[in-house]
Amino acid sequence: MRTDIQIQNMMKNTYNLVLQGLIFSIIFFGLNACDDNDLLPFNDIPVVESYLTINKPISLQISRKTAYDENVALSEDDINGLQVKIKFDNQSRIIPSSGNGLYTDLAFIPQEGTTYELEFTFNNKTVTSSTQIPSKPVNFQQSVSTIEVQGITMGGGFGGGPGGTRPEMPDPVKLTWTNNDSGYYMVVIENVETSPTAIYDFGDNADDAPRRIFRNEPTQSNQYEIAAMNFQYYGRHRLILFHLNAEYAALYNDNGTTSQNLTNPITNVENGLGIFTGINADTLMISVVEP
Amino acid sequence: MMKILKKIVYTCTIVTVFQLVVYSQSSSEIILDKQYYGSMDQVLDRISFDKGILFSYNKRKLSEYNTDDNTVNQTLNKLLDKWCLELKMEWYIDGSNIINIVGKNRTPEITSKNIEAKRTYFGKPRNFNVLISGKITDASTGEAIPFGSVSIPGTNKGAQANQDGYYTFQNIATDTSKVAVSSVGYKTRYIYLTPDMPKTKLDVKLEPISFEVEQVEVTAQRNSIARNNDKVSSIQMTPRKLAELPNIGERDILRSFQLMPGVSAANEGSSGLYVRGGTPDQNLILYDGFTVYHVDHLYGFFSAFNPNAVKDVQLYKGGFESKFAGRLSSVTEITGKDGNSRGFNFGGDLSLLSANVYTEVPIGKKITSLFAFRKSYQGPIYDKIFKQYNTAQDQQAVQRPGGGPGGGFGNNYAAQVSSYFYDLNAKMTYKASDKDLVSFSLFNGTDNLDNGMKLDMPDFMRDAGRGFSSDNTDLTEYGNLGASLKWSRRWNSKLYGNTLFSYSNYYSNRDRSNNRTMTDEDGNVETFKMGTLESNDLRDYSFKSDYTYDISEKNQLGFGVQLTNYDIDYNYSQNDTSVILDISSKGKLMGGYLQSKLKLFDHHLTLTPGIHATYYGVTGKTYAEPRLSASFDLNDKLKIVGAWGEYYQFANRITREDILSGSRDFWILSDDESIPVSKATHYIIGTNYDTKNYLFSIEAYYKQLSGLSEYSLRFNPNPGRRGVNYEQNFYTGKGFARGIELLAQKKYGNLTGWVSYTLAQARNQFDVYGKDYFPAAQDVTNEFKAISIYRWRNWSFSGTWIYTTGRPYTAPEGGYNVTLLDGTEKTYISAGLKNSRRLADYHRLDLAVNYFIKSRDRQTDRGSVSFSLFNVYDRKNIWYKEYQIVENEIISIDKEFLGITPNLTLTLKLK
Repeated sequence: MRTDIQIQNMMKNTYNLVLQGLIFSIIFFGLNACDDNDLLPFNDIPVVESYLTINKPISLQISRKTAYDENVALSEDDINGLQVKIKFDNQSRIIPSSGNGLYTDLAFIPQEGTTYELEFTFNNKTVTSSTQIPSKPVNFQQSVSTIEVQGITMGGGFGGGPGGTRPEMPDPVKLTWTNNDSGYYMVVIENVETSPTAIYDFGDNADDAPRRIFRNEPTQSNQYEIAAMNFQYYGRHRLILFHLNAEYAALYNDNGTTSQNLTNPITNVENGLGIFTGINADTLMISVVEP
Repeated sequence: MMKILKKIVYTCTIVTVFQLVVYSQSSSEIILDKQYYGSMDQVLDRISFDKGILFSYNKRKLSEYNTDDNTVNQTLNKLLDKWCLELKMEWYIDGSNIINIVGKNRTPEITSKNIEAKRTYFGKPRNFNVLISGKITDASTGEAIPFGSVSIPGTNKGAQANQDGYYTFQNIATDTSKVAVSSVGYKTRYIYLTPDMPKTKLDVKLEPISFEVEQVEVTAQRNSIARNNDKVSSIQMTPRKLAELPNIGERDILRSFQLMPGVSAANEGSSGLYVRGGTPDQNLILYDGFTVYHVDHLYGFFSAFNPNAVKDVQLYKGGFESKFAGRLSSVTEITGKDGNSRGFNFGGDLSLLSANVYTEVPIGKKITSLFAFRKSYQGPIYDKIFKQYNTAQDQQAVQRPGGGPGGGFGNNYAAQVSSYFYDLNAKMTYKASDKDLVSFSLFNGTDNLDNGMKLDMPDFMRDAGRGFSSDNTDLTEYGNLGASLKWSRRWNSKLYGNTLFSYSNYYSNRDRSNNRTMTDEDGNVETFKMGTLESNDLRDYSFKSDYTYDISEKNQLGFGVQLTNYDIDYNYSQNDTSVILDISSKGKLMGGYLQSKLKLFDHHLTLTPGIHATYYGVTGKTYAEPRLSASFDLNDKLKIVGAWGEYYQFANRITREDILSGSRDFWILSDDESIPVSKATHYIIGTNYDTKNYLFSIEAYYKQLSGLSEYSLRFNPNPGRRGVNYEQNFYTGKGFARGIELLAQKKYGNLTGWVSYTLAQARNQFDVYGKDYFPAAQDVTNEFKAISIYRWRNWSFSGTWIYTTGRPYTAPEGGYNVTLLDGTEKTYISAGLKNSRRLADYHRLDLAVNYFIKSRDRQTDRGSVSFSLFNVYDRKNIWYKEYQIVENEIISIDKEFLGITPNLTLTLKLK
């Protein structure tokens, strides 16, 4: 019997010990959990993305910045419930939300030369920006309207050999325009065919298919040459020359993606991030054909 | 007998022998009581007869010279000095008490053999408060040993030799005292003075410690027999035996300093020294007197100093003396080898990284020369490091021009051009006279990192002369070229001077561009360059003249002047048309200093007050830097040290953040407008306990910093003005660094080594980042290092283990994407609080085994075979983090330092 009592006492002691341990653990981990719940600093400001262009209704995409840490304090403001205002010529228009952070007004078509000011409140801060639509490019010209590009088959290996097809290398397509005030311009080249034929064999994997659109970076030059080898597909291509504001050119300036070089990105949105800018464009066409 | 006499007459040398009378004073100090005149040989004969002194001289030569100087009541040594000056001869008393009168430079050196550690004189001392002076040299090569120590064992009395090996030791109690002469890496030699030794030409030769003799190589200078060294916070190292420590490809002087307390070791990517919370550009590096501005080889993995060409290195971690100026944090003083004066020597090393050869050629008796050359080759280690460091940088690059199939072409026709580093050292030393030494030293270290690609349309793809080629250049070339011409003169046994002219050029060129050449059907060639071009060219012309004057045994005066003329150009452009930055700065520094080293309280207290004043031409102001250091011996083992000082820096290394091609450094001068002249104040206190076998040391420091600069170049588009799209910002701030360093060292025995621990903090405050102090990028809280060397016969086994707190870094706060006009998405990441987080702790174990090849007589080393294993347990230490946004989430990828890497080195030498 005494042994049973001893065993019972032992069990009781063990139980107490375990219980104490558990309570201690709960308190300890609970405290730790409390620590974990301490919110890390996060500047919750919105990201704006809007290109104003003539002949197209105004449209703004507003989104939240992705937080690096999980436990950060986020604003309770609804990204779809913002009072987004565009002010111009002493007028002010509220742009309605279309959901998913998109704000559009089909009746609001921006005009060249007018200054548009964006304003809304998010996280108790007034977010503002302003821009103008630059002038339409002048004297946009191309050296040729058709270019012959010889494809290469991968039969003998791209590096050549008897099986390889001998390509012809035509002169590059030279695009010119007037740029007397060192403005920013950018050329985007886009294949407009529904199902274009690739110039270079990229194999069977559709994922390897090259993009149908390519570009240069914003330049203050008045010309651009498209090397023949940059074309990936046969068919009609749209050559779009954008006249840009400086804030768009700034988007191409990287701000670092490593812990050694992180700096804050350049933006023209006050109390926010992203881009609110006007653009203008002119378009030419070119055909890429097989010789 | 007749024959012998005849012989003596023929040789025209006469030795007059009289019975030696024991005088209570040295024979040269006898006061003459008669007037002697006539030919010199007759005068000496008569003095010899009257006073019983022995002379040895060339009778024919001395008979040609007459003297009628007043000799009554004159001491013989003063007369001998005067006569020898007129005769252009020298005199000395040899061990047999004979006064020898000989031609210039014919006084025999007191070699290690005749000052062996045994007592030969048992008489009474004849002179008190004796002064001895001379030169300490290496017995095997004849080279001067810098900063050796001369002391009286068991007392606080001592003196330190200067950089050229000369020493002056005053007020030694008697001319029969026992004197110890020592230096790191050499056997300590004891000299028993005798009354008749030549006290002012007491040259001492020290035998280098062979690998079988037990003494640890890298040693805190204050620890061993060199007790009387009064310099606070200094470490001395002789690179001769660095082979014993584990290495990765190269024995490395600066890397070895990183094993000492107070010098951060968590920097695989920089061989520059982070001393006590300072940055490498706050460390003044002097190589044979000229400033070296860049020390990194191969992404900073190695330093540019070839150990085969370096004799001695001193690191002053803080509180350094008034002679040095121009840097906030520390001083590294490197002395190049003079070259063997005893004969031709040749040697070299071959490792998996580089080949290293050197030769030492004496020319006649007065000239020594040394030439050393080291070049890397693209062996396995070079490739591994290049790949490791280069991949990381490459990933930061944007897509190269000519995307799409261009990538395909690139892969097929790319040819990577070779990358390498080299350095060469040349030194020539001319011993113009017993008192004058002229040396010329040249150093050039260059890195050439080439990551370029060449894309050439193959012939079969060319058509009727029309073609297209594209070179993707990614070339970084940087290095340092420096030279100095130094004249050292020992004016007398108390005054020593060095005068130096130097030139130092740091160059850094970066060409990360795409060179396109197009040839049309008419054969017209058009070339255009797109990308980043950068160059920095710093030229430093300096003049220095430094003197030490031993006023008395209790006071040594140091003074000098320094002039520097800076000429710095920096150019940064994009494409070959748009110049973003074009900075040209010129400036003059004119300075002088005065310091006194006082020994008080029976040599227990050494006090070194001093001041350095600099006039800086750019600001037109004069900057005064008062300094004071002290050391107090409580007993023969325990010492308390302390220092305080103010320091200014005028030339700054600025880091330009470069997102595309890695951050780039360039040197620029302070202007007190955008870049302030930076200032530091050091406070140091410490103690060390030094026994025969062990050293324990504690030092605490506090460093206050102001006028710190940070640079940023921001894109600031300006549509109206082509190319002026960047805005420079110089952010200024202040900071402090503080810490405690502990060192325990075992100096003797088969097992030697040390453990060290540093607790430190480095904080900065820049208004641009807010009002609060933030951890500086080099801030490391805990740093523990254990170094151990075990010697057994011809083998040595060594290991080093390093543990440090992770470095601070800036984490992202958030990120977002923007859709560009061509439909592509671009990621932007915004920065969180500056340096608010820490990388994982850094730790690493390195091991090495060395086998030493001995000469046939087993007296000297002929080389070694070394096997090293770096990062033995393959710790994935983090270099930095890279961020990407994937599916609306920012992910971080760790970029790591080097993993486990073996290396094999073969070292051979003729002597």
